[in-house]
Amino acid sequence: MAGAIGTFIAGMQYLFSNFSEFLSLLQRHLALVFISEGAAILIAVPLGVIAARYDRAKGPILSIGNVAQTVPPLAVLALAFPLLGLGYRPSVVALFVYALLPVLTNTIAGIESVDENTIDAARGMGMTENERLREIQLPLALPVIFAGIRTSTVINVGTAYLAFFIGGGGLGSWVISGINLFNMPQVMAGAVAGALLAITLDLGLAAVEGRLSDSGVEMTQSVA
Amino acid sequence: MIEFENVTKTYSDGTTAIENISFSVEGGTTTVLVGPSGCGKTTTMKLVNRLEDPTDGVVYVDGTDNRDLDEIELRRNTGYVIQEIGLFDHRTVGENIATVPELVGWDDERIDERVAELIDLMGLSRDFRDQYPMELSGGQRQRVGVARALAADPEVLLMDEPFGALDPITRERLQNEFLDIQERIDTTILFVTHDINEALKMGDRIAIFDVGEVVQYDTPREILANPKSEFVEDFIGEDRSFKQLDITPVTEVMGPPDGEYASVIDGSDTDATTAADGGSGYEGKALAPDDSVKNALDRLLRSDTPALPVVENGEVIGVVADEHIRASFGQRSDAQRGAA
Repeated sequence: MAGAIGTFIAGMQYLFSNFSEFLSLLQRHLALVFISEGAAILIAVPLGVIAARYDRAKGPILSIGNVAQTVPPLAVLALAFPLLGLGYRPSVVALFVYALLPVLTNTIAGIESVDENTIDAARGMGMTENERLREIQLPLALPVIFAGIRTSTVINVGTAYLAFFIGGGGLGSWVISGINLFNMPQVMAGAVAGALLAITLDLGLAAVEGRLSDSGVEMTQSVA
Repeated sequence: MIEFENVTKTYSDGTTAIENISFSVEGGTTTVLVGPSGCGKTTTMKLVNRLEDPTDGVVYVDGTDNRDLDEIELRRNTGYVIQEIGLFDHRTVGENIATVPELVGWDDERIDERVAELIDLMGLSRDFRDQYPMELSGGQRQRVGVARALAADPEVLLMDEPFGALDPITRERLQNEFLDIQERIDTTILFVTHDINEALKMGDRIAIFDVGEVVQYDTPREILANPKSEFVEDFIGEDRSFKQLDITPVTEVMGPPDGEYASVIDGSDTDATTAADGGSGYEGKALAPDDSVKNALDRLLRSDTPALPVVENGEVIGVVADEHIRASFGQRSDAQRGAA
């Protein structure tokens, strides 16, 4: 225990004495996460919509997402290397692939969880399929979709450490080279920073998510 | 005006929901489709706004085969209310009501006025406008559902068990309110229910369904007086006479005010009518012209007078006694026998 606290303090000392290096690693880490996650959202949400709408497309789309998710992240990165080479860009692609599934499944689940009677009413009132999607299904599915984005982002922060293996940089540089060099303060500095980053993003996104699912349902409790 | 012409609907799994149905619904009236569950009444209703298309036969809306109409436009011209209401939980009450006017592109001012008008029409407080559906009670939600269906002044209104999920007291209140509203709008209404009492109460005409067929299509009174088959008779239930009394207004059975009950009515015979209240003097005893005969019988049984006055605008226009009720029934059963 005392050893752990000692290592933690040593880690923080390491972090602050290499602060400018830390900032550039953090910046790279954030770039990896945000760009891959953003791309994943841009692709997974429309794919999820298509899967939810066309039963025939659902199977194939989900299996792509599933395969991407079941391959260990390290293997995804390793597979990206022969295909795309080394460096930052292949890392983003690998992380993107890995981030797809949670957003995809939640988009499908969110749209499918919209009450059938609500859809029936919308149809009966003369909404076209696109109007139903845009004005009814997506807004009602938004909290669930957003929960998927949140999960995916937090996982992504952790997975991005592995980008170091194919030269993607980020906080993984400290952690992985620290392990190799047995430099525990360096490992600690990189790990704690990533953990704090994940927690911060999680809380921030949770706050947005809470606001999304509250709107419209705000005063339910006061009536019930 | 809606016409069903030899309409058959068979689903892709081979089940036939309705078979060779023909009947027509007059414009501006309320027609109730009633029958046990699985009899095809909901399917029949959905054929009107093309939520289903017939396998065979034609549904005419105002003389046009509705498959020649654009389905989206047809639906926007047709109000649609379902038992589960299906309000949009992410939109306020006002936004829910404004759905179809928004879709068809009314300007904001017109929508605003219309929403306010409907909130008033449905007897909702204006404060509800900015609230969300989840904050309302079941009865209030269904009022919003009806308002939403009426928003763009549809020519046809389809209602699928609209009051089915409500508690009995709220249901009756909404039925009565809706009867009032019905008089103020000239919408053609198709109303689906499994409850014969609701059908008798709400319908100008009733189509009784039995597994995919219309077994009788008539006015409520005709159905009660002359059920065409044993099925219809069973469906109406054992208390057919009471139901008849319930939908017959007292004005139809009452005797003249100056007949043999004049003494009862002019007050010389009873305490109740001598009350010097400045009004008619019939407080609590008088019947209104639109009271039902069942109501009259109930009050006769509970009162100590042999007859009750029917009062309109403070004036006695008739009198109802035991014998009037009996006599009207006698005639009716004679007519029935004659017809048979």
